[in-house]
Amino acid sequence: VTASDDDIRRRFADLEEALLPQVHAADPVAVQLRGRRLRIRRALVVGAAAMLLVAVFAVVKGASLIDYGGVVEPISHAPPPTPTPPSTLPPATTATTKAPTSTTEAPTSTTEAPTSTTQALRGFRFSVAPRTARPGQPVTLSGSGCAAGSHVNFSWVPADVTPASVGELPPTTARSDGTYQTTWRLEPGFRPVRIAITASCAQPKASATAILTISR
Amino acid sequence: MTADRDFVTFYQANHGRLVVQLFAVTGDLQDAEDVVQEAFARAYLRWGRLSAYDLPAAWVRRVAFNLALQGLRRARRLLSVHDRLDAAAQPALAAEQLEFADALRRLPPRHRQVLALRYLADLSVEEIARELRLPVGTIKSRLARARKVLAAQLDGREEAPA
Repeated sequence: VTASDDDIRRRFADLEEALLPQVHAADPVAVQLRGRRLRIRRALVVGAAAMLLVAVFAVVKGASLIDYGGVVEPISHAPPPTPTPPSTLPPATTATTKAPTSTTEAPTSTTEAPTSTTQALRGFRFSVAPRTARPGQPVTLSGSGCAAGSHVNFSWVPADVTPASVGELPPTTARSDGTYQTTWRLEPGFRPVRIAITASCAQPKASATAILTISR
Repeated sequence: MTADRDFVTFYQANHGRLVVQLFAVTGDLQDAEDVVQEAFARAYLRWGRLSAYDLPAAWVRRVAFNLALQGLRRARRLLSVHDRLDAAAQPALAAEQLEFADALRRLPPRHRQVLALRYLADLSVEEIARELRLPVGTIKSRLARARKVLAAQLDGREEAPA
């Protein structure tokens, strides 16, 4: 059984005729007010989303310990180095001013010790060239800042995989000027992945990481 | 200010008919008024662009239908069919009109929607297909099925909706 088009049309027309007088139309001003509220809410949501994006970007950038440019500073949590006193000041002046507060300054001197180490470590540099390589291609691992004759060890981990398995590379020895260089030929079976290569210097103790992208 | 006046004219010209079309879908006059008002508020939000459309009422109707169907899905999760029918606000209607409204309520929402567009909005099958972004064949079969089930409901026979 199919109701005829005309029959259904008539019933709908009857229903419409009966309902129309009963429809309560809200004041258009109230509708416009609701529209304005929606506009404000949408602007707030868009603003909040933008701020969240900026915050996430700042956190990600700030938390990154690895410089994806391929050359990085060693990772250290020591405080920044204190400025050295002007060279024009006579040593005696420093001694006399520091003498009365020697008891209070004792802890300061201990915290300043790692800073000097950090300053020494700041000279340690490590880079990978090229930054993108295919399996089977040689890459050069080089840097500077090691003591002459010091061993430099290398290891790598997949940068984007957790937990990461560690791969070891043959060590090398720093030259008399503290620079070091070795070549690593990527195994042909390497899958495309980003890896973090860490160079560790035995003397002075320092390490730095650089990223190598292995392409197809 | 002219835009505001245009919007008020548009609202007053279309509000009542849209509420009736939405009543055919929601089965509840209050719900129909609420979703139509919300759709008009959203239209006002982008009235600068909408007013340039050939048929801004079609945009409002589509938004209102979407809101109604979302509301029905939510309501279905919360209430059984009988609870929902009992809870529906009944406008003052004659016996035949009440019987017709009840028969409509027993149809699946997608059937009520095509019937409302066909018989209350006076759209052709092609226009319904465009508005719902569905193939013409789907609309034709949905309309035929809706008419068949509706006729069975009016005859007092239960026909399983597709």
